[in-house]
Amino acid sequence: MAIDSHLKISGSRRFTAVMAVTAVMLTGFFFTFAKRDAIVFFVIALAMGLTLYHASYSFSAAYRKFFIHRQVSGIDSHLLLVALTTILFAPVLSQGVAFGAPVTGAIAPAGVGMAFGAFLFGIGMQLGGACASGSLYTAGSGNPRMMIVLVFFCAGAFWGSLDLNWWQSLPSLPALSLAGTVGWELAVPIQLAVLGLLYFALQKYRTQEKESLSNESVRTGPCWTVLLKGPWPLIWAAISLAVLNWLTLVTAGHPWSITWGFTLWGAKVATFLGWDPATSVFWADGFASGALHQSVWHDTTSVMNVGIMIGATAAMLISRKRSAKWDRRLGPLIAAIVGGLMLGYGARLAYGCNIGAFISGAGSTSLHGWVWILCAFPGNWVGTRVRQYFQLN
Amino acid sequence: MKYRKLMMRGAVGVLPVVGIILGGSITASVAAPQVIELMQVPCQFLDVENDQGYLSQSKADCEAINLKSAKERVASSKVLTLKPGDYIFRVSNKNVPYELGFWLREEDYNWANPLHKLNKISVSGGGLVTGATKDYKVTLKPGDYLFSCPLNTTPDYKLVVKDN
Repeated sequence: MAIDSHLKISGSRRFTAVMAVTAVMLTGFFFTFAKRDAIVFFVIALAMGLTLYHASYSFSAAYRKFFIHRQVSGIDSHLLLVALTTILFAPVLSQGVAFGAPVTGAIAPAGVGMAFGAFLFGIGMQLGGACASGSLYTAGSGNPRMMIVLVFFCAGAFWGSLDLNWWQSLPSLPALSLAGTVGWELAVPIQLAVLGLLYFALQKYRTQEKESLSNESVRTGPCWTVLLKGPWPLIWAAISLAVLNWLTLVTAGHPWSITWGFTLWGAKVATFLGWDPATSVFWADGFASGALHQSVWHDTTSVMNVGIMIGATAAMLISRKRSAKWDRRLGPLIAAIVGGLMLGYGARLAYGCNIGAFISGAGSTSLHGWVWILCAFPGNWVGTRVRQYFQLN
Repeated sequence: MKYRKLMMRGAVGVLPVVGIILGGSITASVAAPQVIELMQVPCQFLDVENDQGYLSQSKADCEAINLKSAKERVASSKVLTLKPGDYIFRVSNKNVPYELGFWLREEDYNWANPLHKLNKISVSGGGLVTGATKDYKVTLKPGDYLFSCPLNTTPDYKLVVKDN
């Protein structure tokens, strides 16, 4: 499964050199200025970037292939990822402590604003051509269009943070989780049963053409070569991402999250351009204000986002692939801008993206994780149909 | 021409969405908030527990005191009970010889969790030098909360918000 225009083409030496130098400089900068415990998060994120790149792990392409070609291997891998995340999270979240520090899941209220945000995010996924994790690793691997998506993702997330208070005033349920309602002993088997049912329902719907989760056809050479140079089967990626998400949980105290970092980056740029944080309910004080005034290297999510990008750059350099050349047509460019804004704004209202809200949320048995995907899915359907108006194949 | 037509249609389709988003900027008017006054002396708040007569020159002094006594003091402290609504917590530093702050948050708030910055209630701030008073505005929904001063290192006092 490939993200848009993620093609194997011959890379120029100049491009490779620029990407390598940027990655080395950012890594050096990080190790100079970051707090010591952030190095752990950075290393985890490097592995995430490598995994995402080598498996071309995608949510937007998976949904698009489902709608257009009835291919379900991508969604199968998402279900597997949620199942593994649930199993790994359960012992830690049920204790609420890891290595003596408090640990909390990704549990948020499901409401009108959150549902609308997820729907908007779904449209943005198809216009932008990726979600949060996808835009990070494809931008990290040098895809210029994805860099544009990423910039507007940050702008949209910042915009969403300014309106968040209003959206949160709309009708909403309290933060609910299955584990909080029936206990972890029951929540895990119930959730696994639901995931199993979804898996079998998908197999009924799928195309008769051959495609499988193990994706054997992409393997070329010995196991260690595939591990280092890719491409990875989706099943490897699902296992790797679940373990890395668990490592994030036990070291950072919260599950893997991406879009808070984009919100913070957008706010930092806005502040640099003269915006006054005191004018915003969200940014005026408290921890949001604290994060705004500190270095981004003190923010776990930002550190991990940069790590994912550098991990993808490293994977791209090792595999000697590079992203496709820049599509300079107006339609795709507008789609990148509009899609990026929708992704950012939607993610902020919806308490995250596929990773932060769906995988980490559902993995924590939070109701909002399931509501998120129920709303993002039709958003993706709309987005898939709108793509043609922007000259997107 | 065909492309332009398609782009126009796309733009028209996007307009209602933009309209809804812009609508998010409209905010509703709110009633005047109720003021809750709290006073800090070394290592404690006076309003929820008796004056223990502690002396402190730094945060470390309070941490040492709390290590021995925080559990018992919280158990015997008064639990503030409020109705849902808008509040101003007016917090004063009576005589502590260093800068203090105030932190009120939902009971299960984890400052490290980015999601909690978005969906959980938390208000905090510093700047309470000796003799100073500062206001902290917050809208409280039903639920269990904690409040404390991390710089004076007080115990985590309980606050309950409920309708009746």
